Formats: sequence, structure tokens, C-alpha cells
Amino acid sequence: MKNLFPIIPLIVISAFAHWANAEITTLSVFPERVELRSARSRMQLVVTGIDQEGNAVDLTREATYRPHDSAVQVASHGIVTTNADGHFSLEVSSGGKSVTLEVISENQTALDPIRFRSETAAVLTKQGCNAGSCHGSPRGKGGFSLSLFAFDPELDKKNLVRSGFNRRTNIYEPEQSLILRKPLLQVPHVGGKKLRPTDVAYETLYHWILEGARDDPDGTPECIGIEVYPDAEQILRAPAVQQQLLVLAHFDDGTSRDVTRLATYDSSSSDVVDADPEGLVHGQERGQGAITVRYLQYLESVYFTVQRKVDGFVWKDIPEYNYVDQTVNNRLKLLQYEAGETCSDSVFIRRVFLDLTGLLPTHAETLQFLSDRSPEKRSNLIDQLLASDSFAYYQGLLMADLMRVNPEVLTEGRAHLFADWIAESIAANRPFDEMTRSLLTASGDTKEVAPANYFAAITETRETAEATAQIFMGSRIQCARCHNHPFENWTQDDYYSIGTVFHGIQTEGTSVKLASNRMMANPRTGQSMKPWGMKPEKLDQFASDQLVDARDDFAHWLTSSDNDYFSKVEVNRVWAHLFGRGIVNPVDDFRSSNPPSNVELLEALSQDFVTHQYDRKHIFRVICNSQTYQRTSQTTSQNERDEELFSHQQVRLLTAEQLMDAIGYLTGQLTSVETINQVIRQLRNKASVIKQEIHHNQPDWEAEQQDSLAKTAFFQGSWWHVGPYGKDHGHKLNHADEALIKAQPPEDNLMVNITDQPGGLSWEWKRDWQLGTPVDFGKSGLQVRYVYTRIYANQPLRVLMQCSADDGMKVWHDNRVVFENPQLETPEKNQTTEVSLHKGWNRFLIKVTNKGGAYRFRFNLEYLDEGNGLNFTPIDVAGYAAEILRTPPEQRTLQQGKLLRSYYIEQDGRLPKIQKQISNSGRMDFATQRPYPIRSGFLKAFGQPQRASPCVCERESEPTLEQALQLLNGQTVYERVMDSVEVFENLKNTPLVDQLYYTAFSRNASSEERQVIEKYLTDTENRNDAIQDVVWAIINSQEFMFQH
Amino acid sequence: MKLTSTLSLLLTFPALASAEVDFLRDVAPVLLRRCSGCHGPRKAEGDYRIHTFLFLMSAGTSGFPAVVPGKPDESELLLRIRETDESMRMPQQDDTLPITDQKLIEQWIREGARFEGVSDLPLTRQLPPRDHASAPVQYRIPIPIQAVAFSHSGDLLASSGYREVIIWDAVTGQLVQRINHLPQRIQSIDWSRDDSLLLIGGGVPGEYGEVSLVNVASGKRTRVLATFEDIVMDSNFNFDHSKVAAVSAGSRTQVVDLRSGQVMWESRVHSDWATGVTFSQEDRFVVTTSRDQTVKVQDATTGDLFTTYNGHRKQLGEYIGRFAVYAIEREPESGQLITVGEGKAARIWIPEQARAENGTAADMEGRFFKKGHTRFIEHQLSKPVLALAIAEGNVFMAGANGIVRVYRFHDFTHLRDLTGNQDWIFSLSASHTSPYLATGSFDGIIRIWNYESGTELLSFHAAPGYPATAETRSK
Repeated sequence: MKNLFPIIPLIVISAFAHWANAEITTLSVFPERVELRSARSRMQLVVTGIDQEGNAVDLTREATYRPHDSAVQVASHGIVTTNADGHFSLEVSSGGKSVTLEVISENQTALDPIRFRSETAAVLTKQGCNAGSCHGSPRGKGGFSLSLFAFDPELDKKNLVRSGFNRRTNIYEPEQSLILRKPLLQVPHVGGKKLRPTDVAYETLYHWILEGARDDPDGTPECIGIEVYPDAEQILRAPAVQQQLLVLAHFDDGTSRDVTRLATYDSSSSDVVDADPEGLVHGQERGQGAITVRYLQYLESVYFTVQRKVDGFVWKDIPEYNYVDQTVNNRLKLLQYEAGETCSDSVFIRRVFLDLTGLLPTHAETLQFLSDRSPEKRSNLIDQLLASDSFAYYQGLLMADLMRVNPEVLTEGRAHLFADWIAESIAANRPFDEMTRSLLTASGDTKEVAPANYFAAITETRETAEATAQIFMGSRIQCARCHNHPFENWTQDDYYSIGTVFHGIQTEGTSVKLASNRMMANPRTGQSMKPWGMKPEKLDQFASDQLVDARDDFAHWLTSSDNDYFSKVEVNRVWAHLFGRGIVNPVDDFRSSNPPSNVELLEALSQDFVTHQYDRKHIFRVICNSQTYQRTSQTTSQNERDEELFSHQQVRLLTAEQLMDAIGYLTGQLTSVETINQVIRQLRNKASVIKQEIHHNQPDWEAEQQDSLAKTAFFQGSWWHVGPYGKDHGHKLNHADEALIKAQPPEDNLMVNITDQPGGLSWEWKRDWQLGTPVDFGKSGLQVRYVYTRIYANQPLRVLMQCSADDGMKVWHDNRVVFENPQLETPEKNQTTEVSLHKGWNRFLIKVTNKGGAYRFRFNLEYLDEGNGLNFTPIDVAGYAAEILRTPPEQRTLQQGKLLRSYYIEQDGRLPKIQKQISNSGRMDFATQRPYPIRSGFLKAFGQPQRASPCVCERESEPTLEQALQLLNGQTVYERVMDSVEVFENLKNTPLVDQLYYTAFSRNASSEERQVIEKYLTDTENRNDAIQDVVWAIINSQEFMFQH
Repeated sequence: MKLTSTLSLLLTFPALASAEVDFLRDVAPVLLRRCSGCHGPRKAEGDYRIHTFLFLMSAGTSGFPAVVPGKPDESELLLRIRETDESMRMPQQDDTLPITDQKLIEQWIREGARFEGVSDLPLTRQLPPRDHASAPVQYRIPIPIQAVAFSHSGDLLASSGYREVIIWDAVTGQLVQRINHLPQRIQSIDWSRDDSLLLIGGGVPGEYGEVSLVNVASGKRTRVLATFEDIVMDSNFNFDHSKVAAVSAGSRTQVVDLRSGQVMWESRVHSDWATGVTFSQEDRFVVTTSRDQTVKVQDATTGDLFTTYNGHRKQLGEYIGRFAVYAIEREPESGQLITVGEGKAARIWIPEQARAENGTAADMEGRFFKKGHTRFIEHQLSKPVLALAIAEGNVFMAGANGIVRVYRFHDFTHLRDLTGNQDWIFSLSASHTSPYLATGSFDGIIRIWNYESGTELLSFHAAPGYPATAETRSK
């Protein structure tokens, strides 16, 4: 008959057979006890021997099996079956050792029908029927659809059996079923030959149909997980490059079954390792790969390393500075790649500057470093750079890419605010877990609360869930929107459970707030999902009307040390930044089927990160100080084929921003960042002096303000807002009126409970609102909002109240309706009413209604009376400040104290001005140091991301024609090269070449280079033209464009 | 080399070389089965197709002639089948053709590659009618009932079996007669006026369909009226039983004149399975439903497309949705058509008005919004309706829900539900003589109801020899 696996070279088998006769020291068999509890049960044994050198080798096909009873049969590839009930024993021997197993056999004569949900469904996956490119897509193929990887057995059963007028199965003559005849190619099948009569899938489908093509009866055990043996990383040493796998499915009745033949096997790199349908793994070329075992919705991966002797390979010892080098070298020794030499100081300083700060080292910095004789100079430089502002700004830029800090979305200065928060957090080296928690739980006005902008940048719940998973867990859970993730253990339920965490967050204008305990429902089952990670004791509260911010527990779960995704993802991002490739690659695609190229290394870094309280700078420091990081990018014949084990550094094209600034430095068009930072330091010193003055002067200022308030006839207090209430609440809005009249906002209790609004709505303090200034809510459908303010009168007073709104307005003065117009016909025209203020605080509640379209209102009070020695000109004090000023200092809350201070600072005006100077001081000229990116054709060509997704892949690193054009004669390069003449024309040839070479390449020019350039500069008629040519040539050199 | 091996094979099988090969009978079925998945109507690997004779004879991208009459060793078709290099051999990624099949093809080419048929018509439709194997003597398991039909006399009920039609006593449920050697699956059964003949439609899913006449007295298939490339889903007589229309899962419609025995016309106007067919009032049109969400109205005499009814795929206005259509009936008094399928409402409409409302592209949006003349019976069954019957001013609908909804036609009053059935109902028939309704379902059970009182009169497994048949019970 036909050989199903012709790819196994015969030579390997014979060599293996010869090898396996060698002596072994230990023999073990898994499982240790065979239990066959139904008629069709079978058990794949995995026989392992330990050889003289302590290496494990698979002997499953080599071993001799001697059952002590004829009821037990063992096939030559180690599969045990029985044909009678009882307790038996089985002897397994190989290489002079033997092991005896107990075999328990039950129910061998009882019926054992095919189970639809755990067998039929599995073989549909195994044959590829329900793959996304075939019948597993929503529309299916040829009118026949199945659920992707059998995630919906109900649908599969319907479409296999009843739909299509029972066309596909034939329970009377199962072999006539279309579902068999098509993939067998007995009937034309566009998908080709997918089944053979000898396949387990044929047998399973055939019998399932023969037995009536039924769903499992109630009480059929349900699979709750799988176990793969062996599960630890396996090293296949040539010539023994086979490994049998055993896949056990565990069921909810406590039983387990061998499903090795029903499981599906995929390889992450099939040129290294692959597996046949029976679960036998074959090593191919030298390297590493994962075999992912899929059974129903469960996935497990086993990592394999295939070791083959490399001619002439001898491990050369190389200094190991820390655990990074040890773990990297362990892998290199195993797979027989040579470790690269340490790079030169010139290469190192350029590399570490670019990686940490995004900038080239200046001429002066390079000279200083090169001449430094200290043995610690590299680690000193690393420390110096990690402490610099440039490090924080550049790393902040990269983080802001993922958080989508985009000034077109985060308008009104919010992008700047958010980016600065990120950069400041990095500069202060805030523990990454703590920073993440404060980001993921932030709410408030995004013009004030910087991290809340995370939720303003991504407003759609599902996108927030996806972005959060991708950034912090390295998981692309998008697939699970519509079906269980095909390559990871993320189910659709998990997806919507994470969605629920963010579902109650509402973004309105610039404010981000928790509005409700809304849950997201799984669209397939309609079931509402509980928030992911919420502590059980909080779930009851969450289910009630009381508002619970699900993000707190989620962020806590995410950043806890139990969740090792969090730490691994972040150290891997740091690693990828420093090597151009992650240990897990891509960095945001963590899944068991995408194995790390060095498990030990990732584990060690992650442990270190956790031990050091998520100190990112520590991780940067450890990696940068390793010999591995400092390796040359030049390869040798013994490591040129390595792409993932870090035997040498990668040559990397500078990123868009790095290149932009490098050209700026080279052409002398950018002041060095050090100089700028100097200016900033001076400004900061100045600011701290002013702060002290302000602290000192505040009491006088307050007294002055209080005096003028006392002399004014009336003044406004704080403004508050609650709403909107939508159409759905329309019938209950009168209740809202009543509730609101009672619940006017005291400063410390912001919650309003309205019966139809689960959890109530929060009064929101409006810092900027004031009398007489129109407030615009934008456009909306039918909506109602409430506004509250207080007016203080120093004596009883008649005032003229002016109201206007689009569309309606109602005003209560101290709980009495003083104005009501459900619909103001001419929105801009003032409706005036006379109102009498009493002495003290007068409360105004304003209801603003919109029928649809534009939505705005204006509320004002004007003086009617004169006299009494009071000032009748309105005073210019913000309402909230006036309110605080009216409160005696000892009664003020901490928050009020802070607010008043910042109001005073605003009024004083000097500090904000310095802040602005600091943020604009030259930093804005740099592409790598800006709070948010500038857009240009040049940056776009070199892969500047649009900040529209949380994926690092947005930053493109592929070389393009556009890049070549930009460098050859793009506007940016042209202008900077032209302008460089002014800087360089007065330099003599030798210092000019020094300046250019040290800046561009961090090294001196070779005598040959120097000779050529100086000759060109001298010989060319117009020296300025020659300077331009030289600068241009350097920009267009490979050495400049790349990092080595 | 090749020549020698061929000669040696010839010598080994001298018997094969002697009998004359008939292309349609012997060769076409092999080619269709093994090659047309990749070289057929849906896929044309190497720009070569074999589903019509014309295509079969034309060279693909290689440019080598596929078939050179009389010269097997110059015919690329055969050379590629015999090829030993797996990367070149046809069929790709599949077992080689059995030697006997290879010999048949070779002999056919050597004998001149003769073909007696229409060279540009799909071969599937020119294959001779199949002979059918025997039905089971006893049923191991009941099979889904795809068709039931009361005789005009009202005392007999015919049901679909496995390669047979089974006739039962409509009152007692006792087995009366089995008509054997019919297609594997029967999707449609109709009695002639005098109950002497049965019109049956059926076939083998994915490969063959036929519509035939069966003589009840002799128990024999007397005439195969037409064959199809996929199973026949429905067939029907016209008003005076002088014509028959049938539709197949191969999306094809054929209309046969019973007097001449000729196919009057055939068409393929649907893009997915055609599921139901009926003649309209006064035999003016043949109207066909399809899983492609449309109903096509074709001239009964010429087959010209008169109009397409799009009421099951509305994108604007009321009753929005895109729904497969599974069944059609004509209300005999008014001639209005009732169509059902997926979605939550049946559509009642008239072909002439449907065409008038189709309008032009210019008024498309307004037209879509317009409710039009269609009326709707909102059955609210959340699962597909697969079967439809109409009798004595009553409309019956049933399907995946397992229940039968009964409506009064003139005002759409929901009269009652007939409940008790567990599985999907595939077929319905209303008696012409008494208020009886028969249902046939997936689990192989036939139930007979009095639809006026709503009581179930009888239920039995329509599978002779199946143990439960003996437990027939009367209520």
C-alpha cells in the first residue's frame, strides 16, 4: 500500500535503529498505569530512555511489549488495546531495562457510541474541513458551512445533518454520505482530496452517521482540558530525532481518554519540526520550533529543539557579564552557533545612544567616551543615558505610539499632556505595574487627568479591550470577537468578559467617566459576561445598582505577579527594542504556538523584572550591560544563519525619527539636546523660585480677593452638571426633576440617584463655566441635562435673569420654579425674568432640554438695583474660587486648597509661562524628543506610525523606493544639506572631516577616507558646493542609515 | 518506453480490448468523478475542464492536445493519468486511477474518441438514466421522510423511502405496497388524477437527479422524464397533468411535455439550489424557489424569464432581510402564490403584479421601500419553514420547529398549531377528501392529524421492518 509519510528519510530510521540499541541507564513509560474504561478506548504509550550522557530519547517504537495476558494487545508503535475486562500487566523493555505497567480494562462489551462533541467535532478540525479558508468561514464553501474549529457544535450538527434537506449525511448507508464521498473524491470536491478510508476521521464520521448522526445524550462527559505528554521542551539530538506525543483529554466525570489520533498538530516552523496525524514528531533541520496540539477548543504547545552536529564547530569561551549572557550562550552551545565578539567603542556608543535616546552621540560626547580609560566606561555611559531626559522622551515617544497619542484626536493640548505624563513617568522610573494601573483606572477631565486620555484616544469598548490586551498582555484577541481564538486559549466568552471591564466607561467631550455597570454580551450565546478579573465579593455589588469600576480589579489582576504575561510582554518589548527582534516575535503575539526563541532568557528577565518591582530602567541596564547586547553585528561562518538566538547584533535601519534627528545633528541644524536640557534646567530653577514666592504671597492675595468679594453685590459659585438623560429615560424625567431638587451637589457627595438610571449619575464639576457664557453641548437627539450653580448675594437683591436655550429650559431658584419654557422658539433671544436673591447662597437648578439637533444654553444674571455702598460691577473671580475663598481656610478640604493654589498660579501667570517655555524649548525641533510626532513625508516614508492601532507593526521597517528618493533629493535632506554650509564653511578641512565623521559614525575617518575627502574639498572650485556634496554623500551612506 | 509498457498491459488484459466502449456510459462517469472537482465548472486548474465534451477535447495551458482520436499515446489526458512522476500525475494529491479505468479511457481514444451527444452541454446531464439498486427489505433505522402525498381518493398515503416509495393505508397506517428500485432519495411525490401513476423526483445528492413516472399497479418505474446533475428537490404536474416541471439542487429547471415525452425547455436561472416549483394559474408560468433568495417566474411554454420576485431579500422598508426560499404553493381559488423559507413571514403575491412593481433602476430606492402588493403571514417561527400545503382555504406551514402552523387563507387568521412532533418536518400533504394533514419528519415518523380539531389521529415510523412499525397506534 501507499506510504503515508514518504518524507521520513529512510536513512534516519536506520541510523536511529542502530543508535537505539545502545545501553540506557533508565527506562520510563508514560502513563504509568493504563486505564481503558470503554470498548473503543486505546492508550498511546510514550517510552523514554535516558542514555549514558543523561539525554532522554524516545524509544516508543523501539521497545518490546510483552503483555502477560492475551486480552491485551500492543501495536508496534506503542498503542495498547484490550478485548476483555480485568486487571492485567504489561512489560515494556528496551536497551536492557524493563518496566511493568498495570492495565485496567472495563466495559469492553458495553456499547461505546461515537461522541459527537468530543470525537466527530475533533475530526472535522483534524481533516481541515472547518478551517477558516474552507467550510469554517461564516459563508462556508459551496453552500456548506461549519463553525471555525468546531467552536459551535450545535451549528455543526444542524449543518451536517438536517440543513440542506439532510443532503450531507445518509444514516441508512453511511458510506453514501456526501460528507464522506466529497472529501474522498468519489464526488467532485473543489477542496480536493481531504480524506482516506484509513483515516481515523473516516472511521469516526462513518460510525457516527451509522449510529444515527445524533448529538450526545444528556450526561455525556464534557471535555474540560487536555494534557500533552511530554509537555516540557524536548531536545531531539540527531540521529534520534523522533518523539511520540500522547494527548489525553480530561472529562468532567473524572475520566480521561487518549485522543492522540483525534488531535490536530501544527508546527510553528515545519522546516525544523513537524508531526504526523498519529502524533509522532519528526525533527528536520537544526533549530527550534513548537508543535501546537489542538483538540476541540484546547491548545497546548510542546517546544522542540533539533540538534544536529555542525562540522568544525567548537565553542569558544566568551566573557559572560550577567545572566543574559549565560542564558543566551546556553542556547548557542546547544544549537552550535558561535557567539559574536564584543563590538568596538565606536560601534557601542552609537548603538547605545540610538537605542536609549534615539539620538546620535555628539562629536564631543564621542571623543570623551573614546578617550575614557575607565574599565567601567560602558556601564557608566549606560547609567548616564538612562538618567537623561532624552531617554525618557524617546522611550515615551515609543510608548505613546501604542497608546495612540495623536493630537488630531486628543485635541486642546491633551496629546501634549498625555505624552508628557508618559515621559515623566518614564523619567521618574515609576514601577511599570503601578503606572499601568493608574493608566487603566484613570477617569476625569482629560484636559486635567493625563492618563485618562487612554480612554479618550480609544473610545470604542471592543477596541479598548483589544488594545489593552495587545499592549499589556501581548495578545491579539481580536479574533475572539466572532469566534474562539483559533491559535490561543482565548474564547469568545473571555473576549466579552474583558469587554465588560471597559463597557461602563463613557467619553463625553473631554471627560472620561464611569457611567454604569453595563455588561457586554457574547453575541453568539446572548449571555452577558461578568467583568474579567473581578473579585468574587465585588460581583454582587456589580450586579446591583451601585457603580463599581471593574477596571480596578482588572488592572490589579493584569499587573499581579501571578500573571506572567504582563512582565514577560514588557521585558520582551525592551529586548526587541534593543535587538530589533523580540525573544517572542512579533512582540505582541504571545501565544503558545509562537514560542520564545529562548525560554530560559525570557523567564530570567521576567523574574528579574518582578523582583525589581517592575523597574524598566533596571531591565534596560541589565541588557545593555550584557556582552550579548554589546556583540558585533558582523557574522562568522558559524553564526551567519542564526536569526533568533542573538549570537550577533542586527544591523537595523534607523527609525524615521532617529534618522531625521541624525540628519539634523550631522548638518548642524539641531542644537545638541544637552544644551537644550541645560536651558530647561535653568527654567526649572527659575520656576521653583517663583513657586516659593507664590507660597509666601498667597495669604495677602487671598485677603485682597476676599475683600473685593465682600464689596460686590453678588457673585457666582461653582457650576455643576449632570446628564445627559437619553430618550429611554423620557417617561421618567419628572422623577429626575424631583430627585435633583433634593440632591443638589455638595462638594463631597457627587452621586445623584435617579430611579431609572442604574447606579445614578455623577454631578460633574465644570471649572470653566460661568454666568453669561453660552455652553454648547454639540448635537444630539432627544436629551435632558441638569446644571446647578450657586449665587452669593451680600444683601437682598433684585436681579434680571436671562435665559436662552436650544431647545428648552426650566429654572428652579431655591427649589421654586422661576422660569419654564419647554421650547424656546428663538434660541438666541434672551427670555428675561426678574428674580429676588436673598442674602447668602442662592441655589439655581437649570434643566436644559434638547429635542434634536443643536444643543446649547446660556444663563445670566444682571443687576437691577444700585446703591448701598456695594460694588455693582461684576467681579472677575471664577465661581469655584469665589466659593473656596468664602470658606474659612481651616474648613477647606485638601482638594479645595489645591484648587485655590492653582487658581492663584493661573492668575499670577508667571509659572504657566515658564512651563510653556520649558515644553517648547528646542525639544520640539527634535523628532525623537517631541511630546507628539510631527508629520512629514520624510517621516512617513521611513515608517513613522499613524498611531491608529496598538500594534508595533504600524512602524514599518521595510526598505522602500520612497526612502531612497527622500534621501537622494527629498525636501528635508535638501534643505538641511544646503543649510549645513553656513555651519561648516569656516571650518578647515581636517576639523570638518573630524566633525562630520565623529557625528555621523562615532569614529575617526580612515586615512584613505580623509585623503579622498580633503582632496575633493580642496580641488573643487566652489568649496561650499563640495561641503554639500560630502554631507550629502555621508547621509546616503549605508553606515549612516544603519545602526550596527 | 511508454509504448512498450502499454503493449505489455494490452497483452495482459486482452478481454478488455474487445468490447466497444460507450463514452457516456463508461468513460464520462469516471472523468466526472475524479477530475471535475479541479477541472470543471467551478475550478479550471491549468485552464483545462472536462465537464462538457467540447472542453474535454480542447488543450489546456500546456498546449498539448488533450485527446487525439485513435492515438492514446499522444493524448495528454491519458499521458497525465499514466504519468509516474507524482508532481505531474493526475489526479494530483489523490490515488491513481484504477488500471481498469485507465484501460477504458485508452480504448475509447483508440476506437476514435467517439461521442454521441451535444458537445457543449454538460456531460452530467447527458448521462443515461441510472438503474437503481434495491430498497432495504427491513429498515435498520428509520430515515428522514422527505415526501408524503395523499392519493386523490384520500385512502392512501405515499411516502419516501430509501430507493423506494411506500404506500400506506391513510386510516390505519398499515403498509399497503412498496415500489422498489427508485432513486436513493425521493424528495417529491405526486399522484396522477386517477391515482394510477406517481410522479417522483429525487436522486443522489451531489451527483444525480431524476424525475420519473411510476405505475402504481405494476409497481414499476415506467418513464424517466428527465435527468439532472444533482438531486431533484421538487417536481409537479401542471393543471391538466399534460406537463411536468422539476427543479434540482444543481439549480436547474426542466419542463417535460408528457404527450411527446420531450423536454420542452430547461433553464438555470438560479445561483443556488432550486428548492420548489409550481405552475401558476392557467399554466401561464413555471415558478421556482431557491436558496439564492429569489423566486423566478418563467414562461411555461418557452422558458423565458418573465420576472424575478425579490420579496425574500428586501434591504429597505418592512420585512428586511435576506432569506433562502424553500417551498411554494398556489392558492387554487385566487391563483396567488405563497412562498416560504427562512425569516419570520410567508409571502403571498401574484407574478404579474410582481413584474409591474419591479420598475426601473431609476426608482430603485422608492421601489424597495414600497410595500407593494405582497401580503405577509407572520408565522414568527424562528427557524426555517421547509414545507407548505394548502387545502380548503387553509394554509399549513412546518419546518425546523417541528410544529405545524395552520392559517385561514382569506384573512390570515392563525387557527391553531399542530404540536407533538419532535423533529424537523420536511414534508406535508393535505387530503383532498377529508380534513386530514400528514407530516413527515427527520426522525422517520409520519403523523396524520385532523387539522380542524387539531387532534393527532395516527403516528408511525414509515420504515417497514423497523421495530417501532408494529407499535402503530390510533387515537
